[in-house]
Amino acid sequence: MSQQQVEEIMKRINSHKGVKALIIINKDGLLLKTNMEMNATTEQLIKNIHELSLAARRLIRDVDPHDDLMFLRTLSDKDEILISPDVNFTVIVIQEHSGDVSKVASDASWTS
Amino acid sequence: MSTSKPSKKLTAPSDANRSKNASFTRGSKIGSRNPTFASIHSNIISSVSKKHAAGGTERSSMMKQVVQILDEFGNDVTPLPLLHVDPSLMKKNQANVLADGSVGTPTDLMSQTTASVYGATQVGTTGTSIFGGGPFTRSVFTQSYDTASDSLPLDEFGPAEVTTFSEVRHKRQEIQEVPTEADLDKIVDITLTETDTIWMFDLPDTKVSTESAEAEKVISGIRAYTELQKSRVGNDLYAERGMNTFNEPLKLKSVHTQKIETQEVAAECTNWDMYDTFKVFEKEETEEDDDEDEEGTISRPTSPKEEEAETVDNVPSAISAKRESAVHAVSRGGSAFQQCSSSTIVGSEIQSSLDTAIELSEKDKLAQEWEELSKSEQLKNHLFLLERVICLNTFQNKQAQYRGFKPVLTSVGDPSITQNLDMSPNLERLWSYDCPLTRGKNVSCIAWNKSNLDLLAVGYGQFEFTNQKPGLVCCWCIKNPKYPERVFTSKQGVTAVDFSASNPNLLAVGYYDGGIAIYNVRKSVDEPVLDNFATPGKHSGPVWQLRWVEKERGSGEERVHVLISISSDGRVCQWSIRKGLESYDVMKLKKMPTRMAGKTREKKGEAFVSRFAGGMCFDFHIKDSNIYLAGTEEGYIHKCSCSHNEQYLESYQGHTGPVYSIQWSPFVSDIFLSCSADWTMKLWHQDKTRPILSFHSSTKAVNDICWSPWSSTVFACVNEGAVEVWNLASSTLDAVYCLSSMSGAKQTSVSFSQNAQCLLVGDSEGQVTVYELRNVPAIPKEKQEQNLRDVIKASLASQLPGYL
Repeated sequence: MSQQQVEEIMKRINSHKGVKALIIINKDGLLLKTNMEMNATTEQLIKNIHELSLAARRLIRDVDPHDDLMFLRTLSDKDEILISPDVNFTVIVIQEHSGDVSKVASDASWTS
Repeated sequence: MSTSKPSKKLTAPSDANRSKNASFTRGSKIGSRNPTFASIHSNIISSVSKKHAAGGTERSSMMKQVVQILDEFGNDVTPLPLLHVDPSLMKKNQANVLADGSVGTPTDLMSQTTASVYGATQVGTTGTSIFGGGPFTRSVFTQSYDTASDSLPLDEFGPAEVTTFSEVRHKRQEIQEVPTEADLDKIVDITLTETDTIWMFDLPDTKVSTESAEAEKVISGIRAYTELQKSRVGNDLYAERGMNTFNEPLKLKSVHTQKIETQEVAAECTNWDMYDTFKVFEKEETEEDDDEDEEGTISRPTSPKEEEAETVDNVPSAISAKRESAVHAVSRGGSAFQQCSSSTIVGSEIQSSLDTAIELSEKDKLAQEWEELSKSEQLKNHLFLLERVICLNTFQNKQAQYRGFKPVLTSVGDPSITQNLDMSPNLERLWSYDCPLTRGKNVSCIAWNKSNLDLLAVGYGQFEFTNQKPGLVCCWCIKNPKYPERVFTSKQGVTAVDFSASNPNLLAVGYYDGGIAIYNVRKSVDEPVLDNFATPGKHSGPVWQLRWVEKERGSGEERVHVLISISSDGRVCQWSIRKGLESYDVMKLKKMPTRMAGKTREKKGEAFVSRFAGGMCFDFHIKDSNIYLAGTEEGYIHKCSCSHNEQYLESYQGHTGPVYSIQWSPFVSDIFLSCSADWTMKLWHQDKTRPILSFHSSTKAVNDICWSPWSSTVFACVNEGAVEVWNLASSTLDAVYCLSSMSGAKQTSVSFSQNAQCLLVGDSEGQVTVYELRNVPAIPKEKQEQNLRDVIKASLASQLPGYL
């Protein structure tokens, strides 16, 4: 039952606007599930993303062991990498920008 | 045997290897004693002694001859033997010695021989030799005895033989001089010299000054010591004893080991590693405690699983509450993340199954891991979160707008881009809730969650009887416009929804067939918690409105939350959810006698379809939960009380068509608004049976109205073609803003958002569109009521008395 829901959500994410890739890796950085084709570059990409997430986690936990990394977003010119880590696995989504970069940059300047 | 002996003996010296054995055999022949001191030495010596024996015989013969040594003076200075050997005694000694073998202790031998010495002065030097030689010569003595006596037959040698041996022994021992008289008179010079002083022990004195602090102590100590010395002699504390220790000979011993291999292992221990480890220990301890507690109860599951189950239930609501702040943080560009509760749940199932996995190849292992993982709750949570984030990425602008963020001018020199020229109230479309599930379905009702203001429930169901489709209730969230959080399907079209205030997770759904079901939105199970499909009190017509009402009971202390429903069968029912759904008729809406001016509507015969008027909508008074208004199909609005279920308190006439929606003003407690299929909306005062104001804008039935929660004079309505926003302060004749729908879909329901300046409009195509209402002047709280009253007063004043 829960597996079905998981599959459904994954399908929805994949079909969402701008989503390029959905990757699930285990705690050692080994690939569990992905919707993009595997080649040397993508493997390298996954490895690097894994290392980044580990480094971020280390940062948070060094400062305060009670704390833990919940989410990590990396925005680049071309797209955005969303990393959601867990103890046993990590879910990664690479999404393209919805609009142009300047618009996105101005998002940071919202005020209430 | 005798012949063999000499041969043996002869071979002995040459054969050094077998000397030991040879001596043993010899020893055994004598007695049962093995000479433990057997060594090559002794054998050689025995052989030597043999030779000497041979040589000794000469000497013995010499001894036999009377030798006289005369000195120059003619004195007989023949050295006389000091000790005369007594042959009989010697034999005795021999026998004794032989009997003893070599094992006899030196003291024994010594005592024997000394006895012989003292006993018989005539005994030869045998005793002395033994005495003098001590233990070292004993073995030789005995050995030589063994060998000699054994090998050589005791024939003519006999005593002479014995004496020869004694002669041999002589060699060992120093020759004793017998001092003559002359010698005694000699002056012997004796030189005495002092030997070097050998320091055995040196303890230098320590000096203490008499003026120092310790002086007293030292002096008293000295005194005590001198006294002790005096009493030393007979003192029990002191005893003189001599000791002699053995100096063990040292021996060097080498040991071989295998090469000790060393390996360098490094481990990095970080702050959180230690924290995690301690946490695991603590958890094990608490688990043990829990297990101990739970031994008695059988029904409870194991504690980790229970924790997991509980937290899973809480996670959706918890996450939804936290996401709100997360959205704020993200939209501000901040990076403060809260601790995610789901990540601290230990996936015990995954762990145990992975532990017991058989050895597989890498790929298989991963595949299996994926299998396990895909069933887990954590993955679902993470995906859920990701979906939200992705949506945020896509809808970031709109969501920020929803939250009330205003865009900052990107460039100073270009104000026209972001400045809104339109200063009057307007609606800007933000997004719409739409998904394949809901397409084509008619939105019949919208309800907001009372505790989580981002959550809304939308009921989908056809209004008309002819076009019934399976109904749907979707719970949408502001943060995810792409897919509903919960989907509840049903066979009947949904006509009413409402969230409970006391239990915010309970959602009541009313159906076209009169059924009511209650869902728990915490779980995404598609089954109602309770339903009244089988109860006899079920409505026989569509349930047009549901409300959770907090009622005061009895003395007024207890507040009970009950569900009130109104339906086409004319009954207003109260449902309690204690044991299933139980109904209690609050009211039966009786038909009013027709009083249409000029027209008498004659009922055909007296056969009514029903004695009751169908109820379409109701609204409970904000302050007094006993009073409520009910709108009927006839067009009447009745003010009723829960305590009177037969009579109306008041009836309001004005509408000529079914009253679709009715709502008390959130600011002024006497005023309410109603809309109906007769194209009008009317504003009423509860004391007046005629409306104060009537609003008319189009020739379409007004399906729904909603007061604005921020402005007392603003309300929105939907008629079949458009959304209209009215502001009574500006105009009572026209809508301030009107937005026609492009798609041709009929707008069916409207609701204001509680936490945003937004309006939600549902239409007959299944879309719920979110609009932002802008440029409505904000009015301070104190003035709200006044404003509305002013308007009413103005309008009343403008009306001619007697009108209506």
